Parts: sequence; structure tokens; C-alpha cells
Amino acid sequence: MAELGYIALVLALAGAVFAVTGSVFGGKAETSWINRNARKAVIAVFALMSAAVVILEAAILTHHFEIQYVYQYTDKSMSPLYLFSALWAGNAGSLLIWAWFISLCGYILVLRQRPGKRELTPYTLAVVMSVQLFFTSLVLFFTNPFTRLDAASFPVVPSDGTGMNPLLENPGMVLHPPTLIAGFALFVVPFAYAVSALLNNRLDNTWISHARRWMIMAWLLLGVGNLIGAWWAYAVLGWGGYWGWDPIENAGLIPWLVATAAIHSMVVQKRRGGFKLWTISLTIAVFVLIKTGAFLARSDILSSVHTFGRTAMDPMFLTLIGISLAGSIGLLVWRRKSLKSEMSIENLVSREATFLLSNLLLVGAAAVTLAGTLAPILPGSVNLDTSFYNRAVVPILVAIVLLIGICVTIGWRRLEVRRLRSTLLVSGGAALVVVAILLIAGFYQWYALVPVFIAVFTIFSSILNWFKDAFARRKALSESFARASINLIGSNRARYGGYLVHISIALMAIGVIGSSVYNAEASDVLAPGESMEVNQYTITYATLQGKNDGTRMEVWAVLDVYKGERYLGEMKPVQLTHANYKGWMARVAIRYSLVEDLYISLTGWDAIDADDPEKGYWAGFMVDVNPLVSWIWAGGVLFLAGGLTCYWPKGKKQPAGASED
Amino acid sequence: MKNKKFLIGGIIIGLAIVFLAYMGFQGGSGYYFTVAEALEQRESAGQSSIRIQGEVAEGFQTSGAGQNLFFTLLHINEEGTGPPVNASIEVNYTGTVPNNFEAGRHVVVQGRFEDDGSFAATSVVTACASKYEPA
Repeated sequence: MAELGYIALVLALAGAVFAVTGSVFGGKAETSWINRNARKAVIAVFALMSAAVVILEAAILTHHFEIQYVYQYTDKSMSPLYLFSALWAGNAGSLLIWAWFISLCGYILVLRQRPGKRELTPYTLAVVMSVQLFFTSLVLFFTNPFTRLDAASFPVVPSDGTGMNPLLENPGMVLHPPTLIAGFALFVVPFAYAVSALLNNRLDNTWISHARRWMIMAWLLLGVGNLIGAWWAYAVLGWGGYWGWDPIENAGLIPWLVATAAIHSMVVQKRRGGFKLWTISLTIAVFVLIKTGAFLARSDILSSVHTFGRTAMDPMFLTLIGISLAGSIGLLVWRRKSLKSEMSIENLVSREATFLLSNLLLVGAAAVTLAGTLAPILPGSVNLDTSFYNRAVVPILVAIVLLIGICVTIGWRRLEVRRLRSTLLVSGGAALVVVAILLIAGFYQWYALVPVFIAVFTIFSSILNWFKDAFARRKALSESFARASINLIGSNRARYGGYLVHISIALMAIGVIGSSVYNAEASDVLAPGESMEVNQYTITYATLQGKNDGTRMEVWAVLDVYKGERYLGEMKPVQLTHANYKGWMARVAIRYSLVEDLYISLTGWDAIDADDPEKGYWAGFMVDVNPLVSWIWAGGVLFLAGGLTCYWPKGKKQPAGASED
Repeated sequence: MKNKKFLIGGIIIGLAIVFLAYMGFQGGSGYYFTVAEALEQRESAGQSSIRIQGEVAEGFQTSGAGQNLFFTLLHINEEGTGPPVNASIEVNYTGTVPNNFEAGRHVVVQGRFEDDGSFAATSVVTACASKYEPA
């Protein structure tokens, strides 16, 4: 089995070499023999990479413990779902998936190719397949998932593996890595189009119309991947909550911020012919930042929640980063004349100007985050803690949310004063009312109230603009108001999808403010029958129970939870251990609600009388009340919906990937 | 002329961001001391709260239903950085022990030195939960 995987990878490597060479030397004549065969090679690489993935997955599912990867990350007791997701539990497997996604990108590019219309495609394919080549070589030569166990240490194939770290046994494990890796991988296509446009000196909007939807999909996957990661981190004790400004979390956030800027910059270039150099530079930057993040995650340079341990891949990544950075800058300088902006911003208060401002802020936030992340390895080597990010990055993010609210009310080119004034007044007024209510309710913290004001303002402003457009449409087309509101989306998916995303960002902001400013925590050790109180919650410890099936042992406390007089139900925080795992780990019990989450972990237990277990156990609990956390996840769902709306192709007849707007 | 205005505006925003970063840096620069550094700093640190990164030694103990933790924090010797340093600090901590706390794990403890030379931690953060266990 391992051999089959090897062979697939070797053949894929050869195919990638052929595809790159063919695409580079095939010239622009798409029907040339060499170009046609380069395209076939791309398809073959995709087939071979798929075969490699299927073989590894089959080896995992059928317990081929002679393969080191299978031995290291799985065992026979694992449930099918987590066994399946062991495919990306380790460095080798996750890089294989990354390489597979890139080969998928190549395959889709070839499928989409229409004769005579794709002069950018050969070089685009060449770039995509070069990156594919890079990842396939990494997988093949540096961290091969098909490597057999060392025969010297394992003369006999082990009957069972060492199993996955129980911390990973969470639904997050099934969704977070593949989503994130897919997002990372897909950014190769916008990058490749940018490079191809530079090489071909076609720096009009052609490359953007090809790259835009790839960019949005990659950005969406990256955003959702980050959010799933946040949710996972929240549900696992000791990972510092949903966001800890961990270097690798930052490595996912930085390219997302820059990609957000790039997507907006693309809009300006398409509508007004401006920001050309900026758009293409950002697109390239996203790619380079992702590789830098991958390098940081897979090297051991920054200690982080997620490092993989040192491997010999570091120079490889540095080479890729160096080549893409130096090459791109060289190309940009070479083509500088074609990158001149055709736009002049006529008014300081125009949408162009606000896009420019939001771009600066997004890139600024990314730059500061990057600086903080890299600080430990820069001269002076300072380790920054989260308060750095809270002071330096959070204000910028708040400013961005404010700008969203203002931006949507400002038209292209010129200011529509009446629309601006009425919208700002109404949304600002509504936000003031919310803040007033909060003040009356006894919330006085300005550092919470100011951002809440801004977020609420932005939500109202987005909704108001939507309604205004709906009114206009109702008048023009005599549709009902509700119908017009919905049909608007179809008329300009990018705009109204964007509104949904903007609202989702503001919702998440409210969730972050609530949970970081107003959380409450308490811990106590209780005897059976005793209670502890946190805010209005009364938590009564009933009993401690457990089970042991030989490989896995679980102990949980049964708690009766009341809010005031109202019985909310039982909660069961768990501690578990595994035959292959040193020590115990907690699985927290969370009661989600829209207002606040009740978050309880069992910290441990001691026998009340060591000689008489019948007398029961002391049990330690940590209880957190986290307000508004659910708003982050609700915002995440809306983010996904809005992003998909932007992504959805415009009309049924138009081929997917064709230009929009 | 118009573009000049934007250039100036851009520069102002850039400077504002740099200023924010600088302020954040001033206020939030949490130095992690190494164990050896922390021992040197002990006198000057006095009662102020400091952060120390180190490695958890074998044989840590918990009590009080998992809410009290005692362990020895070892100096982390990086490869190729001169002769190994043998320094350690006894740490006691009351609170929730992070999930992936185990011997050999790198952790950052925050707290202050007691008079007896032990370190009373108010937080213990496992620096590396290794979702991806290195081989």
C-alpha cells in the first residue's frame, strides 16, 4: 500500500514538471501540441494526487500500522469520524491535502479553459503547477506520509497505533484543518493570475475578472476556517479562549485581512480603473504571507499552540518565499508603466476614498499583527503578550467597523449629501439609543460602549441602505417591499453579499466586546450536595461518575444548574484519559445561549475518605460566564452566507468565472 | 493636487498606526524571562509580577481536587546556544490546570517570587498544545 502511494506521488511530481515546462514553453497558441499535453498533465497530476490521498485514507481506515503516519496518528479504538480526519492530523498528511487542493485548482483551471479566451491561462497554470511541484516535493522528500516504520526499531508490524492526541477529538478537528488548508491553497490561483498578467503585460481588468471569484472563495474558506478554529479553541480548556493572538492564529488572520483589502481594491479597479499597483501587490502579498505563515507553523521558530516540531523543510519554505517575493517585486518594477492608475479621486468623501482608507487600515492592522508576531525573532527578540494586540490592533479593527458603516452610505465619485445625512442620523440615533439602554442597565465601561456604539451604528447603517435600495426598487418595479429586498441580492450579489458580511463583522465585534469585557469566573471545590454561585447561576454538585473501557477512562461530575429559581438542567463536565496519553484532560460542559454561555470545567477530584470510596469525592470546578459569545458564531454563519452570496455566479447562462458587476 | 491631499492623509494614517503599535509595545511588551534570567532578576523584580518561560520537570503534583499545582520549572536549553544551563524554580499555582500540562511541556508562568524563593503563579499557559504532536 505504501508503495502505491509513493508511486502516485513520484508520477505526480513528474507530471507537474512536465506541466510547468509545457505551460512555460508552449507559447500563447493554446492549440499547440505542447500546451494541449501540458493541460493533460495537469489533469493527470490531479488524478495522481487524488489517488495518493485516497491511498493514505484507505491505509488509515484499514489500520496499516506498518506506515509510520498511520501508526503515529491513529489506533484501533478511534471512532470512524476521527479516524477519517487523521488524514490531516499530522504535518505530512496536512501537506498532502494542501498539495491535493492545489492540484484541484489546476484541474479546475484546465476545465474552465475556453479556446481563444484565455491568454492568461498558460502562465497561470505554470505558476499553479510550480507551487504544486513545490508541495509535492515537500511531501515526497521531506515529510512523506507513506514512510514505513523503521524496521530496526519495529521488527514486527505493531498491532495497534499510538492514537490521536485526545485533545484533537473534537468536531473542530474534522472541519478546521481542511477548511483552512483549502483557503490557503486556493490563494495560489489569484497569485498565479497576477503573475501571469504581469508576464503578459495584460494589466487591465482581465486578470481580476478571472481571479476575483477564486479570491472570494479562498478568503471565505480562510475566514470560516479561522472561525471554526476559534470555536474549537473556545471549547477546549487551556487554549486561551476563542482567540489568543497566538502566532499561528495570527498567521491565519494576517492574510485574511490583506485578502479583505485586496477584494475591496479589486472592486475599485474594476469600477474606476484605480488602485492597479495596489491590487496586484496585495494579491501577491497574500500568497507570500500564507507561505510565511506555513513556514512559521511548520518550523519551530515561534513557539505556538500549533507548531509541528522541527523538520528539514525550513530552507525549502524560505526559498519559495524568497523566489515569490523577489520575482514578484521584479515583475512589478518591470511593468510599473502599465500599473499607473487611471482614476483620480474627485472627492475626499467618496466611496473611492473610503475604500482607500479601509484598505490602509486593513493593511495597517495586518502589518502591526505581523510585527507583533515576528517580534520574538527580530533583533531585540521581544515576546509580546496579548495586551500588545489589544492596544495596537483592536483600535484599528474598531475603526474599520466604523468605516464600514460610513462607507456603505457614500456613493461612487461624489457625495450624496441627503442620503448620507439621513442614514447617518438614523443609524447614529439608533446606536445612541442602544448605548443609553446599556447605561441605564448599569454598563459604564467606555471601552465597551464606544465599540458597541460603532458596531450597532454599522449594523443599522447597512440595513438602512438595503431598505432604501429596496424602496427604490419597489417603486421602479412595483414589487412588494419584502420581495424587492430579496430580489436586490440577485441584482448585485457582490454588493448585498458584502452588506451581509459587513453586518456579520459587526455582530462578531459585539460578541467579542461582550465576552472580553463582561466575563465572570469563579472556582471552588465542592462536596456532593454543595453549591457554588456565579452571577445568577447556582451550580449544585450531585455526584461523580465514571467509566473505563480499557483504553479510555472518563470521569464526569453531574451538576444541577439553576438560573435564579429556574432549573436549567444537568451539566456534565468531563475529565478523560487514554491509554496512550499521559495525564488527564478536561472536556468542558458549555451551555450556549444568545445572551451568555455557561462554561464549566471539572478540574479534578479527591476522595473524601481515602479508605472508603463510598463516601464520595470532593470535586473542583471552574465556572465561567461568557456573555454574547454566541454572537460570534451567529456572525460566522452570516459571514458564510454573505460570502457565498458574493461568490455565487451572476446569471444562469453566464459561464462560471466570467466577469461580474 | 488632489492626490497630494491623499498622500498626506495616508501618511497621517500610517503614522497613527505606527504610534498605536508603539504604544502597544510600551504598555504590553510582556517579556518572558528564561528561568536563568528570572533567577538573576529575582532581587530587582521584588513583588512585581513577571513572566517566565520554562519546561515542566517530571514529577509535578496536584492537590485540592486539581486546583493546586506544584511543579519544578526547568531552564530550556536551546541547541547550539553555549553550554547547558542548570537552573530551576519551584512553582506553586492555584487555579485551573491547562489540559495539556505535562512533564516536558514548555509553559509560561506569571506571578511573583515568594520569600522562600519559590514562585507563586497566578497563571500557567502551556506554550505549545501541539495539535500536531511532533514526532
